[in-house]
Amino acid sequence: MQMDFHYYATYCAAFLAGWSHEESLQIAYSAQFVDCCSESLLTKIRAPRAAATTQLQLELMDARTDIIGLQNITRIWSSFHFLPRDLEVPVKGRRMYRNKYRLICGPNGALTEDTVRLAENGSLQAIGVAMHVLADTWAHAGFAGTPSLVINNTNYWFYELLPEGEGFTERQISFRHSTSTPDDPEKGLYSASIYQMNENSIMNLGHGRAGHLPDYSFMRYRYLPAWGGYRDILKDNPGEYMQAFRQMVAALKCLRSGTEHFQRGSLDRETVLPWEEEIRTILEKRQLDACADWKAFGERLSGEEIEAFDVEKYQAEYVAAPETEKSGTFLGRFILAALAQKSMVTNKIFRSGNLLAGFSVDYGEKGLKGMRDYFRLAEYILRGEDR
Amino acid sequence: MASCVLSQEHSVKNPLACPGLLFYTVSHNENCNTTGWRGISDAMTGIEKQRKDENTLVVIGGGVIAFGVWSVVRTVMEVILRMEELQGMSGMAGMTGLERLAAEIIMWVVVAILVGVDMSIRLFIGLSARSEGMGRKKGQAYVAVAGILAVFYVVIWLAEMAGFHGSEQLYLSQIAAMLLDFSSSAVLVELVFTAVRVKRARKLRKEGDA
Repeated sequence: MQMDFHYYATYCAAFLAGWSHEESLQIAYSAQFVDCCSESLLTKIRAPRAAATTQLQLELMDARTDIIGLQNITRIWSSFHFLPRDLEVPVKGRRMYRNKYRLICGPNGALTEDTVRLAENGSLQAIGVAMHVLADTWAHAGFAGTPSLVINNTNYWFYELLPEGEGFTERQISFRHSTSTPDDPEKGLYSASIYQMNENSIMNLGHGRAGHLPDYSFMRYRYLPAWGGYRDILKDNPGEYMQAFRQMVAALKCLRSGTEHFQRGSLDRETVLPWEEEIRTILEKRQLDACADWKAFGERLSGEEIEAFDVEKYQAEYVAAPETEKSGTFLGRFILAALAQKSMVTNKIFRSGNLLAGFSVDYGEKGLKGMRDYFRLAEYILRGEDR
Repeated sequence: MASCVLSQEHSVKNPLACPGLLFYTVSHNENCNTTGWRGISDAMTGIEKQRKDENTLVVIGGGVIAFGVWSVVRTVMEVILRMEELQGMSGMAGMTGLERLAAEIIMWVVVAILVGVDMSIRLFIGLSARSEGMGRKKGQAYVAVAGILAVFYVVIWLAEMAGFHGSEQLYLSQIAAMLLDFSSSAVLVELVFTAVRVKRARKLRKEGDA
């Protein structure tokens, strides 16, 4: 998903769930910041690089694709953008294929529930991180957050479904490979990553082979996923984004109550119903960026102005804060939330017998070992200061 | 562009209650039907087998073209490396000056024509197979030509095998060429069978839709 959903739609969902305007802004900012918090940004503000929640294109180009590099990539993308749906799903094949298959993202998985519960009684930043992860499970379903040709590849069998009367017509999509040229939905011109035969090529990470199509709320398309055994998948983004919105409202309500626990599969249709038509109109409008529409909708909901997202808004605060007080700043709390999320997901993947995300140390059992960056998280959890 | 209603093939009422489903995504947009997909343990349906065959056709079509390129390279390399032998056989060894030049040019033109014909046939077969595999309608001609070429390559291969029995020494290049000729004929045979399957499946589907 893009800023239109992660920032503005999350704001709308938070407000509908009962959060105040200021709280909704912080939640939405954190949700969008997950797409900005790269190692480069963390290095710039002298923050722990292990808290990276994304990787920029330039970082990916320089990324190692040996086992260590692949594990690092998998940790980031599986934890925040392609949350695995079922780490125990039965699948035939060799162990390496099985492990990659089990990282396929999808909504309503056990990890989604764990992600939202991790944010219970937590900071607004933790809630924002959880909302980003939850929303992406809907948009990025069918792709895995690890470079893999045999999981993430697509081929010429790729059709866009265009509304026509009561039904749809199919238009075949031939992807081009020009990152500088914007997509043109009117002419059906879309960019995707180049086919690379190498199994672990960065081109085969996530939904690169399907371009930005999963992130466009208006797109409906059919394609053959590499893992699907020639079964086609029908992606109805307007419908699934609506589900994501309903689920965000349900989750945000649970988190606000402080007592209710989020259950996977929960959807809050009732709260969203009065606004459904308007939301559907935004989702189905054929535009690459729906920020303006979502912003207008959000401002109508709350009666307040939603400030534009500024990636540098809280950086000065973090840099200026003394070392002992950094974790109390906005970005400090975000970093703790990111570390916690990455730690939880990596641990779950590791415990399922899958080493694609690397080793995970259980601090409760083994004591403080491993990456120094996580000491900060462990200390705060032990002191109860992450709340 | 084909007209279609959003597929109902994967409709499932309650995803969380369906055993065997790998995973599932629900769309309750009133304009769309519920969507989802089945687990991988389920057997392939007819349409999935057809897609597999179509994909095989695309890959094999590329393979036929690749073998054609190899064939061109091999022929040219053989002519270059055996130039003296060929000159002796054709009587060019005794020629000089313009006469010899003309003979060489004629020889290369003949080689180019033969190689060009071979490559053209392979391009026709390969591109047609790829086109058919990608969903475009193609006639029977390329299948027939592929069949004839397959028989031709099998005969060549058998002749090569017979030649080995009679020769005192086996050269590595001969073994390699034999293996590649065998592969080439296998690819052509596979192409014929796959193309027939695809055409039959499409015909049945068309009759079923009608």
